[in-house]
Amino acid sequence: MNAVLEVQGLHKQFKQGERTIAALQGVDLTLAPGELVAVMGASGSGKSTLLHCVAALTQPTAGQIRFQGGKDVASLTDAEATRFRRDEIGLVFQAFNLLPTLTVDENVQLPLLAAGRAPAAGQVDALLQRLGLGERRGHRPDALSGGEQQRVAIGRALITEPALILADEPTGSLDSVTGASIMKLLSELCREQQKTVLVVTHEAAVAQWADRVVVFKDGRNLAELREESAEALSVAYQRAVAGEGATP
Amino acid sequence: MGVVARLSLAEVRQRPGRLVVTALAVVASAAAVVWVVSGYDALSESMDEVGEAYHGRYGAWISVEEGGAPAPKLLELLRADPAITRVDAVQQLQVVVSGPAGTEPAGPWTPTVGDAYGGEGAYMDGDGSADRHDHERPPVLVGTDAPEPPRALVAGRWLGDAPGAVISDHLAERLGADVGTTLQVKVDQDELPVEVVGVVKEVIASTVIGETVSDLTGARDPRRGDGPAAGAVYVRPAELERLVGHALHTNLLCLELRHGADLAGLHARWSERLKPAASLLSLADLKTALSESASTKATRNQAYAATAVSLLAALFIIFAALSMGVTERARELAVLRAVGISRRQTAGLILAEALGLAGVGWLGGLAAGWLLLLVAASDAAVAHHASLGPAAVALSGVCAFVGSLAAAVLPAWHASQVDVVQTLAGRRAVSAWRWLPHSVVLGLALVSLTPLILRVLPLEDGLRAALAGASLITLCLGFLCLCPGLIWLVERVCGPALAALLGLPAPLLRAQLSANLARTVGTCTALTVGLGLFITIQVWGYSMLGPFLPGRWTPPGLVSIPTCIAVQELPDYAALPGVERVVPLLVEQPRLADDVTDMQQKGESVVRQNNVILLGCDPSGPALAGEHPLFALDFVQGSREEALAKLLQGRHVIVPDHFVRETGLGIGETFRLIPPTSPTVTVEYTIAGVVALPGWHFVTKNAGLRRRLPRAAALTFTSAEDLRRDFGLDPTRIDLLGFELAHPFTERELRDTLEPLAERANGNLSIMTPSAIDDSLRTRTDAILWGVSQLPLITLLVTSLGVINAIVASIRARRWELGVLRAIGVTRGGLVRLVLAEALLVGAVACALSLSLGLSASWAGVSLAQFISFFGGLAPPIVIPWAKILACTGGTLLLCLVAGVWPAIQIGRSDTLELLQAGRGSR
Repeated sequence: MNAVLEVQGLHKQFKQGERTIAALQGVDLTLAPGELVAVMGASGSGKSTLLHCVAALTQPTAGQIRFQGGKDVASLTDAEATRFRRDEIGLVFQAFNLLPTLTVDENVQLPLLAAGRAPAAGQVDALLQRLGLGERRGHRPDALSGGEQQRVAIGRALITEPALILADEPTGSLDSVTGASIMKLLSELCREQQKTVLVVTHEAAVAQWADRVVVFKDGRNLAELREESAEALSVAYQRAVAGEGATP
Repeated sequence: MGVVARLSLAEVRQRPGRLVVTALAVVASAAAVVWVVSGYDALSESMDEVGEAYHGRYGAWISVEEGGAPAPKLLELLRADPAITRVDAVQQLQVVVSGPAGTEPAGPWTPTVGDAYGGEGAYMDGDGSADRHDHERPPVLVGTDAPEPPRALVAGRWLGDAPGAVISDHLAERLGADVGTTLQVKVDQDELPVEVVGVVKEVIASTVIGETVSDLTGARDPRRGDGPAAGAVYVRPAELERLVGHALHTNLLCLELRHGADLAGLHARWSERLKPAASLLSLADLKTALSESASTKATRNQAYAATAVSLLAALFIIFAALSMGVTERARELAVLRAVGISRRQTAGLILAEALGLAGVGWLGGLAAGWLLLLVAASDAAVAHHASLGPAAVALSGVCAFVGSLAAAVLPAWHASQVDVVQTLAGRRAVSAWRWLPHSVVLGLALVSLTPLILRVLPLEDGLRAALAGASLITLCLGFLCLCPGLIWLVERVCGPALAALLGLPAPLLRAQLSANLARTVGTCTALTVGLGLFITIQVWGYSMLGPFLPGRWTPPGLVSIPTCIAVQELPDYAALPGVERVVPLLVEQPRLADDVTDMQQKGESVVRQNNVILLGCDPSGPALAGEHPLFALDFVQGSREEALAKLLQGRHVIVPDHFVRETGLGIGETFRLIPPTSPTVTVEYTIAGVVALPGWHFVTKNAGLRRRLPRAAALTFTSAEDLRRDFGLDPTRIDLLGFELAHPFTERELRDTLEPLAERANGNLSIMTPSAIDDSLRTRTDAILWGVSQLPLITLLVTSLGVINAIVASIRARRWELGVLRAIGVTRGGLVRLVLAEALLVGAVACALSLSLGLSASWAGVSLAQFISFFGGLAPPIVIPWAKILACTGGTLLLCLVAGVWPAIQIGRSDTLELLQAGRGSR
């Protein structure tokens, strides 16, 4: 089966004052269709940088990122990168990043509107119903709870029916119960719609929803874990970070 | 350094761009004040100089009415007055003078359409700019027995007992004459020589002085002058009698005063005693009158208006800038409050920033204004004085500091009210939209006050005018309150259209402006100060022009011949090539015996005067009767047939509609007139009909129908027979002809047609064609309105700097939003278009606000003018010069677009990730 995403030998360096930071140092990662993968690591481990590179928000220093076996994402022009983000992937941010002046309905449709396209008949209705936002479509973000806002953000990521969803700490601004409901939703959508989801997180409770967990440390993939419970995953993660029984 | 100062400086370091742009706007506003007010300073400085140059060595003079020659006893009494050292009796008369061969003869001034503005029209611009040049001034023969010249002698000698003339240096230059030159002086048909024996300095008199003197003396006789004559040919009285053919009454008594003479005492002794046949006017009176003259007042008002406009512009720009600062720094302000900074200190922070802006703006404005004046003074083509006077310094300071502090009040209060917990928790403040309905209702209530006062409430005229004047302020406040509603409307109406035009998602433009309402209101209102004022001036100006444009009733041509032609010469005129029809007419300008126009109570106006013009014609002749009468009168009361029948009965008159409106008289009612030749009797005329006579003011002025007084209450029509009988007009002479040529003609063509016979009238013909008046009025109005529109346009330019501020702040506040848009697939071009669309929407709101305010204010201005101004009694319809208004609103949109270009490019070039990461904190 063809991989949705293939990352090979990815390096990313950037300057911070006089210092050069190596955020990614030869990362390899492959995502199969319909797979939910979590990248777990401490702050500064390079997991968000990986996500930004994959989303063509920043260019890697070296390495390749192939989406559905096509052109290297790293070599996309600015216009191509914009189209790639708009048509091929969906982005979910930790801070929701909804536009406060738009309604739920409009926030969800925004990528289509930006492309000058209209949603298919009933598409928005169905999506909002699926997200449990059917009654809230006319509201503005400041009238919604954190969980609702993140569901709107997920809806916005799904509206263009992308093959890949990238979620950066999607539960970082939510309490544990709401966070769990969001991850459950992502997991269900992944299965129902055969979406590939790459989640970046530092929480085992989030990562436990993934089919597999890639552990990052100092810009490298340190280990790959498959645990059933959050507790077991947490223990395995601690051990991997500590250098015990790593499975690269 | 105190904490407030430290924090203020930190803000300056943080956002130097905004400080520079805002300070630039204040600098430009203050510089505009300096530029305009310096004109007033210069005028004030030159007032004494001008008055003394006009008076010469005389400290006062007495202007004597025609027929009111001073009795010898009066002269004796004057000479005995302790304040007076000498009295020189002077007789003056406009004449034609020609110099050596090859020079053009200088003749009495023949008014042309353009000249008409030098008198009455001057009120339209009020700056006295319509002064005639010296070379156009009519020469005046001055008979005097003065032993010394009135002004410095520059060549030759002063008059002695021997015949000879002393002329002014300007006239000498004009005629190419010098001492020893023989001049030809022509009076009526006779031309006699006189030798120049000396040359004196010219009387320096502008039209402003001429009008001021006329106002003070009551404009006795324009052909003889009310004061010292410019372009003078001084001769002894005996020589004058020889040249004129008969003795002239003294029309001026020039008084030499003792040093330190008590002028108040002189006035007390003589003013009342001389009335009504003469008036005493001293140098001090002239200076006082000049300082209170319409021109001086207009210049002073211009200075105040410039200050007010610039103050408002500075106020709204600074308000918008400070509001942005408070909104953007809400989190920082909350932290400051959390660590112990008091509410007062927080408010002080904003006030300190405002004062800083004011200081920089004022000093910069003074420097910039001074440089502008220096540049202008070095340009000979621009008559501007490089004078940074006290008024300019003070008023620019008022503009900068009052504007800044007023602008800081609301932002300072907002800053002091920041909710620490809510703000630090990142919760949005209560939406300003909550207040929208209240604001709209309040705005509508305030705006409706003006029409209520002007049209609905039963008020006495004086109170109505006073309240309506005050309501102009509530009108402006009302539109300020309506601004948020207008923003809401424009976002919903123009937003989607603009989005479609620019290929943007419509929802993105629905709340661009309202996201920070205070900022948008401030920016749009600042733009409205200039654009709204421009629209008001244009609409008011062109609306007020309407009644002055000749209507359909105007004959194709009117030719006035003050020197008259004999009745038997009429066929010669009719026989001229191309002449289709010549209609003889008579004209007289008698005073009204009673104050029927209520001029004393309501004040003088364009239709409230103490006299009327009577146009005499044959009621059954081609002037008024027949299928194609020369005057195609439009009757608004009565009918032509009835009116002409009454005119034939005698002592009936057709009057204009404004006359019946002002006097309250109607058909069948009478008014009394005083024949100028028999001031002790009155004659009574009955109104036979009422007609509409748009444009009669300039028709009468240009056709030379105002024979005795510069203004009249109305142009009226009566029977020529009545006119001859009641007013003593010579039945063998004609002084006015109505003309019609075989084809449509211009004033030039009519003048050319009459050329063969012009010599008979000493070349002294006043020719009027409606098209010439129309063209000239429109050209002149364009020029005047352009002149007064420059300040609003400069203000508009200055306030567009505020748009840059607003757009930059808007972008700064929404960086993360723009990052999100880039992240979900909006292109860089899309972001650029989005920012430009925001700038255009700001412009659209400003245009909508300016149009609403401008049209309302100009309507109020036109209505108000009927009660208080010189236009009192006129009721012109509103005329909207759409082409000019659309050009200016289009220009405003372009300015806003240009103001948005740099911020748009900046944001378009930004890195998406940086926008997402760095912008979040600015929320």
